[in-house]
Amino acid sequence: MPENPVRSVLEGKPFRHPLHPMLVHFPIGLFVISLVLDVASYLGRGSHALVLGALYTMCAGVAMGIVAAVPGFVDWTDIRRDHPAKGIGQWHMGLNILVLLIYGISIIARFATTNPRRTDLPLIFTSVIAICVLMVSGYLGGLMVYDDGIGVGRHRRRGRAPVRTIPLTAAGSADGWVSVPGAELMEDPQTLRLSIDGVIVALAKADGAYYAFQEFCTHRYGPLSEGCLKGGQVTCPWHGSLFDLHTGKVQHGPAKTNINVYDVRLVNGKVSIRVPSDDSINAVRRSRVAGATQERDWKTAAEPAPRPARVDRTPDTR
Amino acid sequence: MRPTTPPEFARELTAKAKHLTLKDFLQGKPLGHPLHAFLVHLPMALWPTALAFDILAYVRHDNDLSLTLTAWWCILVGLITATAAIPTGIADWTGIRPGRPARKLGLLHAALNSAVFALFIVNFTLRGLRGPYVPSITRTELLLSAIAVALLFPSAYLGGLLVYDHGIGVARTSKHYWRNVAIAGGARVGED
Ligand code: FES
Repeated sequence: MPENPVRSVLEGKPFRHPLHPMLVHFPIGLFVISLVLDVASYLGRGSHALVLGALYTMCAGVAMGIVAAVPGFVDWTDIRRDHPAKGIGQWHMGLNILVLLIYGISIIARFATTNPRRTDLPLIFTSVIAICVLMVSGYLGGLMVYDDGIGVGRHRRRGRAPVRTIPLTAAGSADGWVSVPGAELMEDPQTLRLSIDGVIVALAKADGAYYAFQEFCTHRYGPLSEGCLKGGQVTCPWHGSLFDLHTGKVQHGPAKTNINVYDVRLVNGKVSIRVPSDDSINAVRRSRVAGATQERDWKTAAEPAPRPARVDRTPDTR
Repeated sequence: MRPTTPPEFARELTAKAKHLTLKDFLQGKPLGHPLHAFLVHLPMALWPTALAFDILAYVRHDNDLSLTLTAWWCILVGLITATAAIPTGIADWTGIRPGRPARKLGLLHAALNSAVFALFIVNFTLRGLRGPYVPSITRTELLLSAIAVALLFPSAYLGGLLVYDHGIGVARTSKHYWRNVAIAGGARVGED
């Protein structure tokens, strides 16, 4: 399914930069300067020009805030449902709506004020409160970018990213293969994010093949399920580490450690994955507890080189 | 537990406020958010706003003091906050490993910003010489604003690419949190 072009522009993909963070400079800056002008009119000798300037910039701030809200909302819908940033985004949105409401009321009140040369003190305080709320909200917005990488490297993504994490278990299967319901219907390219007994796995379909690999990049643990899939490789959305999906090897950094790749098979049109029974969660934890500096990897024990986690699509023989 | 509500963030910030160096501070480590990206909102918004008011003042020609005065204040506050943003930008740039393409991009970003900054200093000086309470602007001042803003937009865009394309500053403070999430999720991780 080709991506909706309107959505892709609102997400800033053609610009390699999301639109929302470009636009939010304006409401933030305009609201601050509006307060500065208010205070200048109040403290100085008083000037109708300053009072008017504060009103103009405030109106422009509200207008730009509304414009910025549109791509902001689209960005929010793009966040995976069980991602911590989804909740931060809700706070960010709620506080921003509050700020716009406060300024809307303040603008109406300004038309009813009597002193043309000085902004009334209650109105100045209203702006101070609104800016405090805005700072908190802007900070939360910044956290979503700098802590969670929302919007970072998104323009490189090709296909659909996971909307939620699908919980699965290997408990019922005798041979360790876990079938992934619905995976045979995946688009190409598309990625699912699975939790198989707590092990977070990205299942990707790209260029006609299925791949399963660990979700977390080994550099700063960026989400590989939101990366760029191409030619049997995945690029981390955050700082561009490139991993081979057949072997899990780092092709180029900044990451230095290889990722885990898992076996995938396609039997009777059903996709299933096998996460090794030597539970890698506990393997890593154990090595940490023992203070071992060398990381443990279940794959390294099995020579020769690990089997590619790849299943070619059955050729169409009709 | 990871904070998700404003009160929880506030608690975490106060806990982090201890042991920090000047570079940490300039990079915004105690805040958990790059300081540069926080400060640049003001010049980035105010200088184009100044240009918009300049254009209005120049086109309307009706000696409306509110337009020129607003532009004057926009340039002034923009200059003050841009000055504060310079050391934070340098601190972020020194954090980029040599050899990465972002380093060159950062230099270009800095060079363009310096030009914009210099142009607005000249612009502001010209206006200051006439006094801020003059309800008209000259063609030179308008041109200076226009050229500076024409340079500011590509420069700010480069700054944005550093974040959204190159990931500069991304997961700088949250990597410990994500490391634990990754370990809990069975991922293979390198040494810390
Ligand atoms: S987190 Fe993947 S490259 Fe940095």
